[in-house]
Amino acid sequence: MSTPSTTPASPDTRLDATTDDPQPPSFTAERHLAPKWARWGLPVVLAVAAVALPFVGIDSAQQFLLAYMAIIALLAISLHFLMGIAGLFSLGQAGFFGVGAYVGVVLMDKLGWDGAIALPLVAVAGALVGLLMAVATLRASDLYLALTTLAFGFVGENVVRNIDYLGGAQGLAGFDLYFFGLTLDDPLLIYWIGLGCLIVFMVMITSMRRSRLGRALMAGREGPIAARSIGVDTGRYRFLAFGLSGAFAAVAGSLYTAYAYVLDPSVFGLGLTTTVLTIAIVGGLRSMPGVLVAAVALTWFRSAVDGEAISEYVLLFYAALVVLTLLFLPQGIGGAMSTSFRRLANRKGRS
Amino acid sequence: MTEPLLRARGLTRRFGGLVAVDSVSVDVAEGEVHGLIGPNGAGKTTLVNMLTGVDRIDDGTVHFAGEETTGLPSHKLAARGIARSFQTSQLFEDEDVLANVMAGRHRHLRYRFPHDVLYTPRTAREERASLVRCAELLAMLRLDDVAHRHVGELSYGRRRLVEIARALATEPRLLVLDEPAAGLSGVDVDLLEGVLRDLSAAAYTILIIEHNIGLVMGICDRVTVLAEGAVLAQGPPAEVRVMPEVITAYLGRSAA
Repeated sequence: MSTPSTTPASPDTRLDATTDDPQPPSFTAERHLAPKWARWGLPVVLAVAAVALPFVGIDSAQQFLLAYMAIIALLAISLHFLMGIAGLFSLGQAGFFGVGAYVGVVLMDKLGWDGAIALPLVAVAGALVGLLMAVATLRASDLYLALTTLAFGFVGENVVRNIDYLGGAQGLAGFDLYFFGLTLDDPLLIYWIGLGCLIVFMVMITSMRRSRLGRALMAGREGPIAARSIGVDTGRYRFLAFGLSGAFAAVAGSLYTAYAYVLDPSVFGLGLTTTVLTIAIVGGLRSMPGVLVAAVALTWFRSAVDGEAISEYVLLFYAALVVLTLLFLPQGIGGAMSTSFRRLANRKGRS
Repeated sequence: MTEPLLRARGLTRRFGGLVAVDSVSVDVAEGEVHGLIGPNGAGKTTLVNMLTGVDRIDDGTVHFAGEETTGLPSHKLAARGIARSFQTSQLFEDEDVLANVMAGRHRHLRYRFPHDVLYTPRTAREERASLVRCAELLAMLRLDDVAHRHVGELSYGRRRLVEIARALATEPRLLVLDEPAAGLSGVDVDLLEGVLRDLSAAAYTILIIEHNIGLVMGICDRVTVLAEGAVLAQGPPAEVRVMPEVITAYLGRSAA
């Protein structure tokens, strides 16, 4: 991120030295391109801290919580990408998640393949379901789009319910899963794999936002007519957005299988979709840091009240949180964070 | 005679019983500034929408740069070098000026898939070149001081300039402007006129819908006058402005 600079340009940084304009341009490419460390410094420090976090000495319950946070964060980031970046309103993330979970179990448990091979294949399966969703919703937008994507979860749930090989309505339990030969029953291993995927996805999304692909998605989101007028084939980028988001969410689903050790058709359920939607809105759809903070905070909250009487009202609490966010922080936590950062930077710049 | 850059023949668009554009033929030669004028409701915007793939073509043909482009969608026409601005602002509202203009570079960035998700050195190199070009465009349109402002915060006149900057960022062979001066203050009109003159001098081909007759007379090499969906007159502005039928269409029968 760069902020408007107030320092005058020295003559040699002028781009357009041929005009007789006496005022040097106040915007130049040189000053816009921030040094690399400023852009990557903080994220790298945070990533290292996240990787090292389990070493501070935490008990088994906390390890499971960390693993679950990583899984939910993956799913939330997939929605951030689809809704926040591409502007496609989806209620279908649980559909991708469920497909990922079942494909993961079939590949890793039933066929006995190592997770190192299976996880990329799960991502491919999720991408294919995403493309299917893009085909099915080709002419739908806004609420119609959301409702069509919602149907995918229901379809998945009912398909699985009627296939005995996948355990039917009872589901499956007790898996033998491996990742690079290591038994995938250690919550910390799941956490690190999830974190690794999360970092990869976040790097991908961040790069995209600064390049051709991300700007094409932005253009399609902000104004399809204008986007096409500058040569962006909006239909094509819609496929891409659904495909990538599906891949991200499916990976989260297959890690969930390893985490929960049981799998039944309820993974396709509306509860999960509502949870990630709440996270995305509270965090701020456009803001990756905001969505991450919300994913961690809400997952922690949910586990903290687990077993307490109020745990039955979690969805009610989520609904209230969404309404309050939309009323007071329309840009979510992420929007509030960037506003205060900007204020801080401005104050520093002036003094 | 050499082949014109844009050649439209017999273009027709009907909305129900209304013929909005009725068998219109227009040539835009390479390097010329072609004005499209006419009273309100004459079908100017509809014609331009048909030429840029935004609206359907019921009848007629369009050739661009020697190839038939009739009925191509606007993103394909943009890829061939037709860029446009819109009468009602079509900016990317939630983004800053720079992001709006950078989006226009879409067709000139050569890198593809792995390069955009990994931000490779190649990506950085091409992005940098794009940014340099956008900085030039911003400076040319006096938008450099608002590069990082959201377009929603800008004055009406500057928003129009952002739209032109974005269209120019596509390096078009044909720039189509739909009433760029509408609602602009005198200073902004002067700036726009200067920009259009610069573009004309730089051999850009421009098709411009404009109501500001002073601007049209000042910059256009040729004009086409539309009235009630049909071509009323075509020719150099000095000749067209004195034609009795043009005066009638603009001022009513009694004035002629």
